[in-house]
Amino acid sequence: MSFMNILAHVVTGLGALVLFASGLGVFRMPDVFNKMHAGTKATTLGSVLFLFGLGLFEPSWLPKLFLIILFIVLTNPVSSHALARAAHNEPSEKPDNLIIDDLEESKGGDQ
Amino acid sequence: MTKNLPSIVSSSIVLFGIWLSLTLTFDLQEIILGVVVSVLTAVAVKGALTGNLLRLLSPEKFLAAVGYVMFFLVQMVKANIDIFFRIFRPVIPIRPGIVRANITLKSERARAIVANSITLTPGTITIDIIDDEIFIHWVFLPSGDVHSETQAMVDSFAGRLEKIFE
Amino acid sequence: MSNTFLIILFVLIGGGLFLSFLRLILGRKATDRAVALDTTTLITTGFLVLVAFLQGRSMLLDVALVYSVLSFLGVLAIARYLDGGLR
Repeated sequence: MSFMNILAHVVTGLGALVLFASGLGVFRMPDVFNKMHAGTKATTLGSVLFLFGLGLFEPSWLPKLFLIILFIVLTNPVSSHALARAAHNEPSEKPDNLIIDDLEESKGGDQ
Repeated sequence: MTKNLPSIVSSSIVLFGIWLSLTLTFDLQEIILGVVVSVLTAVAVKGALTGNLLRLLSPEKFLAAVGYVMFFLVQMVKANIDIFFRIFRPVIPIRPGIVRANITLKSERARAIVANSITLTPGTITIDIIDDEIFIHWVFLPSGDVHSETQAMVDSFAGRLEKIFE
Repeated sequence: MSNTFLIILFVLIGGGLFLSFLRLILGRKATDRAVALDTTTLITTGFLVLVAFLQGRSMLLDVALVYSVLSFLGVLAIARYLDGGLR
């Protein structure tokens, strides 16, 4: 086994582990914002590691995999913001365990 | 038109790079078609895809950009280690809250980069930006003064970007 | 890639997919389901690339790319809908 091969195994395995952690986090976290922490951060790094690791096994695929990685890193936070805004604007969706909530105060000030 | 020229040029270059990595061929015909399509697309969106990347050609701005990417990658790995050990605890330690901080950057693009970076770094996601205030959700509120800690975290990103965008 | 390693990969990816999909079905609120959908589609993208690698067909990479683009647009559309539509 060459060095590249071992590196590819390690990176791919780590990526799969982080993707599993993101699924578990989305399942276990109690409210929508905390689910978002697991669903955004962990899937981003998990996808990056997993796709890059598979690219190390098959180097001719690296350009296209790099494109997928770039797209995921650029768009994942955007969809998370959109969902977070939606969750905060809708009173029935908002979790009630927030210790402080500055955004609610500043919204209340406008009206 | 002339005002947007650097943005259009940099958008064309990026689009052509995407074309090359999608087709993976180096025929003359494919390359000519790729150049035509990239330039047409870049002109149609007036270079809004990337903004002016040509300013990165000056050495200090280029170094600042590389420094930002490095800082961001380290933060992203730290964020994942943090969230990883949080998820596997029997009882997940959370102390959530939404905190405001000020953001001084004027450029819309810089603000978008800061917001997206904060979303991918330890324990924080951006909820909203209203005027000059950015609202951040913490999964575990820092001990001590919450507002100054949050402000310091935002400034560590915004300060690095200021060198590139001003 | 050895057989044992493949089994580990499939168990991890499949487990993540199963758990996030379970949350998509069980989710108490609409936004919980939307977050779970986002995670599910991203893990599926990784799964597609793994299948592409096993079958040696680079065509599936294009499928994965288009899948991730469409899932992003879908999640954005759901978020705009939950936010009260286009205003």
